[in-house]
Amino acid sequence: MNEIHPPIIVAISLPMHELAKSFAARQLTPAKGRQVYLNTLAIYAVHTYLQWLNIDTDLDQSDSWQANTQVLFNATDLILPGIGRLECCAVLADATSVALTWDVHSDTVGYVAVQVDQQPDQAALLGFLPIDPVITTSSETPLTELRSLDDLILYLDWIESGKLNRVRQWLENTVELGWREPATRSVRSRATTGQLISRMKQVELEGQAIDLQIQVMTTKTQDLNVTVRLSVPQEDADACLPDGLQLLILDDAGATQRQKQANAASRWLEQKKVCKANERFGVAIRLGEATITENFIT
Amino acid sequence: MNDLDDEQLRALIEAVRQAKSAEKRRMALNALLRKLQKLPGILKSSHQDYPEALNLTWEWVCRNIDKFYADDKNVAENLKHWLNGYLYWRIHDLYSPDEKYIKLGSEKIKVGFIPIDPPHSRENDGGSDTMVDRLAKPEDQMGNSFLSLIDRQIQEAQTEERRNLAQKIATYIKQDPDQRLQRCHPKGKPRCNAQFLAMRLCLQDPPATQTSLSEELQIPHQTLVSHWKYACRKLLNKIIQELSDEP
Repeated sequence: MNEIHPPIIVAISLPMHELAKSFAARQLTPAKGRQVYLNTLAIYAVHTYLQWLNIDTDLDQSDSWQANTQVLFNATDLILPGIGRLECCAVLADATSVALTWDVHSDTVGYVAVQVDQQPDQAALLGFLPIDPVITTSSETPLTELRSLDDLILYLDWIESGKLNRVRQWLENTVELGWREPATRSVRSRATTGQLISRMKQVELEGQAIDLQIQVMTTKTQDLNVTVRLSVPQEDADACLPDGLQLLILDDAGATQRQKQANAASRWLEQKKVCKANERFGVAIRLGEATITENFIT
Repeated sequence: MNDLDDEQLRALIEAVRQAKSAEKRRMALNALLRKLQKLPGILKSSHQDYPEALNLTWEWVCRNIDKFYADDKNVAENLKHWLNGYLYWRIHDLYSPDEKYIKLGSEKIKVGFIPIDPPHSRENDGGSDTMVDRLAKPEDQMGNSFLSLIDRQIQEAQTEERRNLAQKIATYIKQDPDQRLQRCHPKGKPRCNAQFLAMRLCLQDPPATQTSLSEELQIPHQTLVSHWKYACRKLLNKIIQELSDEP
């Protein structure tokens, strides 16, 4: 349990218990009924808390609020428009861990643990965990590993402001806002063993348009081979990159891991990196005083 | 509340007011809420919808704390009065004849797609045995815990009629009458089909793990996950819709 920050309490009214019971009544077994009942309280608690903080939710469109969908699936999602989904995990009072399922939507960004049975008229928001994109099985995570609700706010803001690109999602053929699939040109690669996907966007520094392309290739492990490439836009194919343009790879704290610099004859700059699962890194493109940074999680 | 509490509260309120970004304000509100939720003297009510009135109050506090004014001393006392001033009227609404407050709560949570049992009212049951009355105690007179009370209520509520759709879906998955589920598999992996996966992941208790399924089907986990999420769930949702539309 997070000892520094006590939980935030959301009150649970009788109508919410009645709704939870109505959902539970439609389930095939009593065990699934209890699961749905407690999930409903947890989802409502997270929804209410986010309303307090003026963070939009779309409960009506969430699978967890669809009576028919719940009948088959263990739906615990809460949609946050423009951000993704939070899985709301009910935790019992005597529990020391929270069960995290791998069976989540591709836009799920994290889990919030909610204690629901300490007192029937309240739920306690304990903390959150960001999504682990390579979670391979439904796992029990100790409550001591939960991160604070302050971290949740920072994390949601990071995603909402577009500062975090979720690379592993690209492998499921999603194209995040601001990115596109390259038309013809691609980063050269000799290795062809894994799944290969590329995304690109055009950035502008000091009035110069530059193509940023990210290529991701799966490996036999959970590692991803990531190639970052800067080039001139295709319509200026004969041109060179601006002299002095820098391509920097940053670690999760923003420190430079490695860098390359273009000269007057450079047509492209490239950096390769092997990323572990759930690794965060940044790509900074610098020209003179101008810098553009993109952050990624694999 | 002592001077130290007053000082802490003043600092927390000031942090909200001075926050220069939405996320800083939200973090400051987190800290303030934690403190306020322990403030002694917050109004209470035995009304079954009091929790909704309290939640509305926390939301109101978050949105209006900038307007709160306190003199240099007695911040906690002033804050309690300010907060209770709003909560008093929300509780008052609960008892108003037009049930204005309850309607407001219902609108916030749209549940029109599922019939909800009407809430027990204190008038109807003599004011002694509402669900919250019973659930509010860690153990009732029979020595039952909150969870066992829930279990009992669920079992009573799970009538054949209410479980009809769940039963129809389970039967459909087991029988797969048109082989739609069995035909839904990755190329060259017929065993990894939607019927098999739905049986293991949705009908089996506890559900199979992804690892065990990957090993059993000898299929990479990424293929399994993609197939389940993007093909099987889509097909199953379509079937659920069809079955729920049946008379």
